[in-house]
Amino acid sequence: MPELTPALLIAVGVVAALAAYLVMAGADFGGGVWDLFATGPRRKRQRALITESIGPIWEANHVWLILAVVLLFVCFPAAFARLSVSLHIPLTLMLVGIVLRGSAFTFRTYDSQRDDVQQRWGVLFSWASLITPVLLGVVAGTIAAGDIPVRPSGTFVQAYVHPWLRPFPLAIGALALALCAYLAAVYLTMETDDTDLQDDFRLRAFIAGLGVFVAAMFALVLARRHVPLVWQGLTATVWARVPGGRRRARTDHLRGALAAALPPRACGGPNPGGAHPRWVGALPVSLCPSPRPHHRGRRRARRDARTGSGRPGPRFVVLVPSLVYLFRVFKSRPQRV
Amino acid sequence: MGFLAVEAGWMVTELGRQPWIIHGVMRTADAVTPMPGLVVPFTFFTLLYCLLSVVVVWLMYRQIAKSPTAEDWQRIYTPALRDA
Repeated sequence: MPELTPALLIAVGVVAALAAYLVMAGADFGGGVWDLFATGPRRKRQRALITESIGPIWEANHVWLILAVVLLFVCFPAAFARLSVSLHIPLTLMLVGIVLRGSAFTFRTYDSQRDDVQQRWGVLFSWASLITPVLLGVVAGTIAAGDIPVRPSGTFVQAYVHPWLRPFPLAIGALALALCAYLAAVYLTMETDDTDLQDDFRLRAFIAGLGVFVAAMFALVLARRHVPLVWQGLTATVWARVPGGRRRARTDHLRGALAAALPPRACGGPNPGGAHPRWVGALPVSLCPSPRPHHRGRRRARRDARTGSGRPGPRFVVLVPSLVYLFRVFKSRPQRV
Repeated sequence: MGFLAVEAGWMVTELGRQPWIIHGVMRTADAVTPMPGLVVPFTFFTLLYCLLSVVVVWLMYRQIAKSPTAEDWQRIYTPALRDA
């Protein structure tokens, strides 16, 4: 068992917030994707259902992303600095996607006139919904691949484009998009009582599920060639069986997983791999902490302790009940008479 | 006026307070990304937000232009008059 340090707990919080973001906002992105691919005789009804189910909640869903960013920023400033410098371009584009998507959705939904102008907002909304999760996946894939330099060097392209514009991050981008589309189709099946629409979205869920499988397998194959760390992490767990591999005893698997957890180049720079606790390998590489708390980090921690701004606890106290209430107001089904 | 107040307040909290720096510990100069060519995203975001503000004004105008006239209101809300 890994040692339960505050850093680990907060890292779990970041991952949980990102997972919540994918499950809730990801479904909204998927809704936009299905808006783009609305086809067949029930095209209009499909779009109406998507609009209705996205409703006013989509803005609230970004709270999870903000929570993850703030936790990363406050608790792992070194990792935040590395990520935001090297991944400046995809992160900025993702931000633009989020802004355009939200604006286009608002402009479309609350416009009083039903005409061409509204249609155009719909197109912008759909494309922004398609591109944003891809970029989110690209960012996640780059972090998992773990080749983010401490200090960018070389030409502009080498330093700011090469880290993320590679096959593996792009495959993870495709996987993220397929996951969002799948989630949205499944949710939309549940959102309506119209059996025709349910059939439409059931079919779309099957297609997207297949897409998830294909993208995941593709990412796995790429991981084997380009990202041994991810490949080992995925195949050496007790749940995984290496395709065509030998059957190993449970303990061997565990030992393999732990060996994979200590990659020599993972933590780069002055920290030798062996200096880290073993659970570090389970975290994205760029989150590898330095063994001693950073000088600034300690001062910051004291400051945060005074102001209370660094602790996630109070945030959750406000966040969770508000979200529950919001979902109750907008998502509960109308009472049938 | 409400819009202006909201936007101005937001500018003050974000640009004035700069929540990403720490007084005396991490200065604004430390917080700047080393990425060259920052003028590109700066210009892009400025144009994007200018575009969005123009769009908001235009859409508001559309809403107002579409709103019913006094006669329409009378027709809608006083059925007796309509039936007469």
